[in-house]
Amino acid sequence: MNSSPFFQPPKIISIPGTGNVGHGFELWDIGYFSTERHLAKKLKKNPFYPFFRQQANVYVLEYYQDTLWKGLLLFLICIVLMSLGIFRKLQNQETWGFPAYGVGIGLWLTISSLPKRRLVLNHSRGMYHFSIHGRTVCQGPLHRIYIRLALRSDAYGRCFFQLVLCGHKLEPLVLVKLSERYEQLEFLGRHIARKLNINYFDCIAVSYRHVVRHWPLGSGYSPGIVPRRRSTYTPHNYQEV
Amino acid sequence: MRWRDRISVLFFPPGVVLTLAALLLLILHVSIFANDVHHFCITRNFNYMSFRSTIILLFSQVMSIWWASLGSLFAELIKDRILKCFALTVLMLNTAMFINRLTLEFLTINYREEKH
Repeated sequence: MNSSPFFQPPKIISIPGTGNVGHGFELWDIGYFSTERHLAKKLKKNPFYPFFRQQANVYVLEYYQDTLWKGLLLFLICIVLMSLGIFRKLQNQETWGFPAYGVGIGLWLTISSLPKRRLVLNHSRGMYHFSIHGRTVCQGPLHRIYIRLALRSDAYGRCFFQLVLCGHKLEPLVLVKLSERYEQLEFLGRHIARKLNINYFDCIAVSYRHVVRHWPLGSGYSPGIVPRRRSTYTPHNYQEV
Repeated sequence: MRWRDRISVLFFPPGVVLTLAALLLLILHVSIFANDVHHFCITRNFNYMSFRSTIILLFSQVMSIWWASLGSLFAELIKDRILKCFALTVLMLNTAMFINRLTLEFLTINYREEKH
């Protein structure tokens, strides 16, 4: 009886577009753990990190912002403080306002980062598409989305680098939060940019290390782009001798 | 525009919402300030003034200045002229309110309980 073709279990159908897109918490690493080694491990696991490949030329990233857990934590702590009445009065000064503020800000942070964000890189149409909870926030050509090495320095003049995925009207997504190793970060950034086929920019505005794959339309004759000056560049050590 | 679209503004990343929050706080601070001035100059009931919550008042004024400045930054990025004017006005009013509050605190320093 069971061998009749009518009682077979249903075959699992994989529809393109509903595949494995991750759980949305990939970018939630705390700064101490989010190093270049960690990123390299993740890249080994998923070559298109932080995106997932959906079709041959379509990459999808679905994520929740990390202000979600921060806001929730703040909200819960302040609710506990308010309800226990620990922090209510200090030397004739009413201080219950601080936890009240915390409750408000935590609630706002949580609510504003609760809906799921979805970023789609569509290379076959040459567009990216960013939507929050199914509502389109912006849509544009691919030269407006890029990976950038950002520079930060502390009071002692030490330089730290960040690897950020940015774009026009996007929330900046930090891939590596703090690192001192410029070369490794540059290598990783270029690797990700090559895999996703988007632009890569160095931390300095004018640099020979940018990798520009997509130009704005009609940039060849637009007035903003100056032809390269050949004669003005002199190497540094040459000047000092 | 349905009501759902209006509510969904709340879920989006900060922009106008910050300016609106700063405006709300500004209204609150203005009312508290008016209450203080009324009790200080007219009724002379110094116990009704907001001496007990000076710290939280100053904190919340600084917060509202901070939110208003963030909102004006976002308005600058959006490049909407009306929004820019609105955000800058809110920012300036908040700053003026902060200066007013500080002057009032110094004027009433003799009437405070914790005078040293």
